Amino acid sequence: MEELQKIIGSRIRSLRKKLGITQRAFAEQVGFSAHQIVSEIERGGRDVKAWELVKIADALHTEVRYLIAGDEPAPARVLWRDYPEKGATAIEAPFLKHCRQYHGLESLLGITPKRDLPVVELNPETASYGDAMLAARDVAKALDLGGRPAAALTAILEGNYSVKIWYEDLAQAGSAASAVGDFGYGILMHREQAPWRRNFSFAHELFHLVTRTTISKESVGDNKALVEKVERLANAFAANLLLPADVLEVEIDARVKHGKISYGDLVELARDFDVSTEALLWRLVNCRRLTADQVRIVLNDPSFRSTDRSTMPANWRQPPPFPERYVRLAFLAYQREKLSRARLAQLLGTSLIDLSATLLEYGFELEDTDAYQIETSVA
Amino acid sequence: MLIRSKQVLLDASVIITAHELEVWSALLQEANVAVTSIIAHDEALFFDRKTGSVPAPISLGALISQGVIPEISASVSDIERVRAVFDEELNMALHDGEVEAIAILYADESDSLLFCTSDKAAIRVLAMLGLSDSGVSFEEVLKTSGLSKPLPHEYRTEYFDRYITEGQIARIQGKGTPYD
Repeated sequence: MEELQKIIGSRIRSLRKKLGITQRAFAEQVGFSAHQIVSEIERGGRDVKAWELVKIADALHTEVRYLIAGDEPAPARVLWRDYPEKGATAIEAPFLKHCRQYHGLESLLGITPKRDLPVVELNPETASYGDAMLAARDVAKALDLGGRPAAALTAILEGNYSVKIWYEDLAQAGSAASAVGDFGYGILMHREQAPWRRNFSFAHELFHLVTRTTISKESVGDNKALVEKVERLANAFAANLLLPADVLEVEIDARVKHGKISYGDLVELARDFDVSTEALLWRLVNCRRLTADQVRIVLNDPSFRSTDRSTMPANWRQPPPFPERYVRLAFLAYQREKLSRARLAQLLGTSLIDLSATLLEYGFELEDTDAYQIETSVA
Repeated sequence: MLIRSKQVLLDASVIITAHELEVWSALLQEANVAVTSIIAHDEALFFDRKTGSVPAPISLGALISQGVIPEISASVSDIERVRAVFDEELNMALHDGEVEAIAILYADESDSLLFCTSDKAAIRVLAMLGLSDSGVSFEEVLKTSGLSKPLPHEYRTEYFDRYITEGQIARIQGKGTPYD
């Protein structure tokens, strides 16, 4: 027993330090009356009650079973779009916990990715924008994204490749991150980004996922110029993925009259492809339909800006607190008797009392039914 | 089953339902009930909506400190022991409060405890661990306490027995835990 206390204590210390939390702050988070209690627990000098262990696990963004059994999952690789100057680990920890719980739900339901994400081998030192553009074309084809890639991208990533998409308020901490771990793939996205910017961010993060074998924190290191180059490659990839040249050319040709295109048509085209007008205009430079000078003039023209703003949906929808697919899987696991009701509430960050209302927000009615177990023949 | 001679660990749904049915106070008098430490300290679980628009907390903490309900805590090694026999699926399936209750039963050599739950997953796990006789339906608890009431189906003995049987079948098939 004492030996186990010491082992658990040392796991708690190690996770707390990794998150950069002081013993005093940790005591406050868990609800201990004095920080000396944390010190005692970490030394193995105090018996930890089951309820204390639950609160400790929550504060450390882990699960009780990992603290007890020590089978903490292998570390995941996280790549940030703009690495937060402070507290990256504190943001990553809950994201990775969610990814593992999400993966746990998939396992309970026997869901495995239909395919693995393609691998693009790019040497960050020598790769050109042309290479990133070619990669985008190949990946769009492999993923079968169609003529309006933004409309299909997240559904295909989640449904076919089991990419765990999670939203958080990242305002002060970079716009997005991607992760590769024992749970598969994850993308962390800033919740308050406009949908058209979010789509670009998804495509940008997809670049990091498909180049996972050749472009990593280790391969880029602290070389700032190289980090910036990789980010520019990811942007080129994203623009090409979301605005495929062949489809875009057809749409542009249909709108050009006497060698000119109206602001209204440009804005409408950006909305059609669900990208920002900036992304569209720079892509048209890339396709040699506009010059960079023209784009700067257009972007600085207040008339263009006001046309752009006037078509932005006034109340664009923010993603819900939990991904819809995650909630669907949790609900299905409950209906198939793979989860208890209390565990379902825990996974949805709610209480037993509020569980019905929470599920209703996602369109699920908490009714005890056997209908989910009934089978019918299929030819 | 000699319920009256045993202490009954109540799970969260049962406590909430006992409040909704207004049998909570009578139950405390008529039955020898207890709660696990995780349930006792999980304030979020217990808010009584019946009191109006602002939910009122169910004051388990006060009842525990007054000695009306005992709080039973599983030791870390009890939890370790029961988690070790769970496969990955079962480790994912239950709330920590349910795992604590099952860990307490698993370690209870005196056979003096019963777990009253309405959750089909938790009921199945009881049977999968060979603890079928350590579980009891809320209907049965109320009946033996002289407090019988019409109950939603998941609190009835028929429902409880159905999932005990399912768990027993899973145990024989070696699902969830090693069959011993």
